Amino acid sequence: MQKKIISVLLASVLAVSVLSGCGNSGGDSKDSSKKSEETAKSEDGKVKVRILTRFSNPDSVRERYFMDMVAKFQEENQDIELEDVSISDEESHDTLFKTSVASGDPIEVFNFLGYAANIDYVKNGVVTDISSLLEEDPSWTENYIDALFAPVDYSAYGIEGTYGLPTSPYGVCCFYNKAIFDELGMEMPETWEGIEAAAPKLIEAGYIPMAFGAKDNYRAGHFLTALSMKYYGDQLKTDLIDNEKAWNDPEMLGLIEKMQKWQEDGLFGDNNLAYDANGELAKLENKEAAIIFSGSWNIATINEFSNIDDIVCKGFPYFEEKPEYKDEWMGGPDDFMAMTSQPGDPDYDATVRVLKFFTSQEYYQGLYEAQAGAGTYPVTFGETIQADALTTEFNEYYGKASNMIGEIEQFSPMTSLLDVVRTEVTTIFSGDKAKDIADRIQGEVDTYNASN
Amino acid sequence: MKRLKAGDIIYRLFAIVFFLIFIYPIYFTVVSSFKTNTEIWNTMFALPSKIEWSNYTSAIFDVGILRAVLNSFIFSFGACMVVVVFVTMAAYVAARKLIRFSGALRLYYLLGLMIPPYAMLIPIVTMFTNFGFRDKYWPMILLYAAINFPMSFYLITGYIEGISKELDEAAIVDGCSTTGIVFRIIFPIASPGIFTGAIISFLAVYNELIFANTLLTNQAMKTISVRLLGLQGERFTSYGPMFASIVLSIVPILIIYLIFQEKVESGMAAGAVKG
Repeated sequence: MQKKIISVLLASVLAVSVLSGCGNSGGDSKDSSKKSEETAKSEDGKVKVRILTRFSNPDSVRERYFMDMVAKFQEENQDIELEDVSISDEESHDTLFKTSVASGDPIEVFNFLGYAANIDYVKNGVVTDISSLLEEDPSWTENYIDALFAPVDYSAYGIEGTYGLPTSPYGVCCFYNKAIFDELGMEMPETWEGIEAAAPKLIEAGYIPMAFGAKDNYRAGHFLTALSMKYYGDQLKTDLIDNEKAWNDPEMLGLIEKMQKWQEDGLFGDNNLAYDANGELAKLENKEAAIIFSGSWNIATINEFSNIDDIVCKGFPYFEEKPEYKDEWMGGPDDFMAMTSQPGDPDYDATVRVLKFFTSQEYYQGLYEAQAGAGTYPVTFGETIQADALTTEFNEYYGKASNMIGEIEQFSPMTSLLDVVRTEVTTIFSGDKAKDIADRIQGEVDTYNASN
Repeated sequence: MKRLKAGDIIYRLFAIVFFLIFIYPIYFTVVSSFKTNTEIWNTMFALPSKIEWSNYTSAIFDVGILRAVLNSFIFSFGACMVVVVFVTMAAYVAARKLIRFSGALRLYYLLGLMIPPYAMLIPIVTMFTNFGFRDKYWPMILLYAAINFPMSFYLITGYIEGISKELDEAAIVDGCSTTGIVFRIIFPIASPGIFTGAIISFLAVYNELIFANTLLTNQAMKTISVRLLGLQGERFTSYGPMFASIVLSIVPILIIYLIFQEKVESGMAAGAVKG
């Protein structure tokens, strides 16, 4: 009996200690993000500012450039200790930021994803409104493309202000291995009807019509949004987010069914769950895949291919029956540089300096030159660099875009929807039926709606 | 020539199959560390067409994997030493019921085993931030030791319970102190169990990611697991340097294992024939 009492007491003590630790913040999030002089200063008296991005791979030109710029900032600003805590893995990145917020010491400059899915950070005062800073220094953003700020503008939700600066605009596109089409005496198809017609001949010749590396679940999410833009424009996105339409209504179900049919017909090849986006690139270079569905972020990598002269960039295929949506794109701004320090915080001025440095025209000019004009940027440049062929081809299509949206789920305040849709749609490649997938997604949405 | 029996053939066949299964990941890792990204995907099993030493230079100079290996080793070895010393003492006390509440002590450690340490991530991060413990070796070593304490405690307590009390009594008669009994009598006899606990703790710390990612933000303090994740780009993964980094990071583990192989294996097998 005595033993039982002791064990119950011990369990209670432990449970209380764990729970009291978790319930750290006594006040609201704004209070918890306020810093003391001590935490804002490093051991040698410098103001300490941390920067969290997803640039940690020194093998990538863009990420290496960022690392070099961190070193440059440190050299030029001896009064600030800039700590680069970047990590490219999405889950680790999110855990690091969320933990820093929850423990009352939010990372000062960070990679904010914007959109409705992240509105809670704005509502709770974690992300700082930088509109007054932008007004004070108009030259800071004079060359930014205004439309890219839309995902960090929450005025539709009654929240005024600007909550970040776009960093990585992108566009989904396709890369073709022209040598395969030349060999078979075929034109490179730019419509889904054309790809469906070309697929049997490509498969017969031993090629994958369009490689799909489903091991990365974002591939399925990107594909579905890009497909919906070509079939319905952004109306389906609006209807789904406003709950005017369900994910298992005929419109979205029809799109998932198309993906399922193409998968069953061998259009995407086989063993899709065994390779990721890197595998897609390898199949394109190795002349196994005729087309890959990808994005502007891969242009620099593809430029390194041994057979780069065979590779052609084109827009995501459209539907002949829907010519009105030919130039509707999935793309636009992806990430935003934002800050958490509030006016009055001891590290506020230093944080603003860091933010300005990594979002300045000079920063992007340097990146533009480092990438030899390849890629996409949130700013315009006075003097353009003669870019490589792929970038030029991409820009030809990108420039014609009449409308552009990010992934549909990003527009929903249901934060988990992005992962739910990506994971569920990926199950096509393990034999799941479109109807079941659509029902499960809608089931999650219904559960969320019922509790909010 | 000695004729093989059917049982021997099956036994050897299984041995070969298991050898191939276990050697495959090592072969794949080593071979891939000398290939480009494209070659890794295109010819997974083949030897590299051209040796890519640049993967290793990138792993060492760009990724800083050697420093990360050193950091991981310091954390693992430090935590391992703390666990060995303190767990052995605590386990002896609990196994011999030297204090009144040794049963309650066991229950307390059982709770430590049942509650996942990551459930306490936020309070721990808060504590480390408030006390200025971030990016420091000793607090991390103590944290890792604490996390691995309960598992080793149960392992070593069980082992010590199997050692006859008469040995302790003989040592007392010879004038040995309690500390002397623990480290001069019990430790050598229980060493297979203690080494197993130590190796399990070592590997757990060596592979740990979440605490390392949240509490060690200074570049010079990063561990292997965090560095390897850094090579997984937002939409592009550098597999060549990643495999080269893995090869470099498994070397210390192999050395440790080869040194203590006998102790570990005997420790693992010790419980199998008990009773």
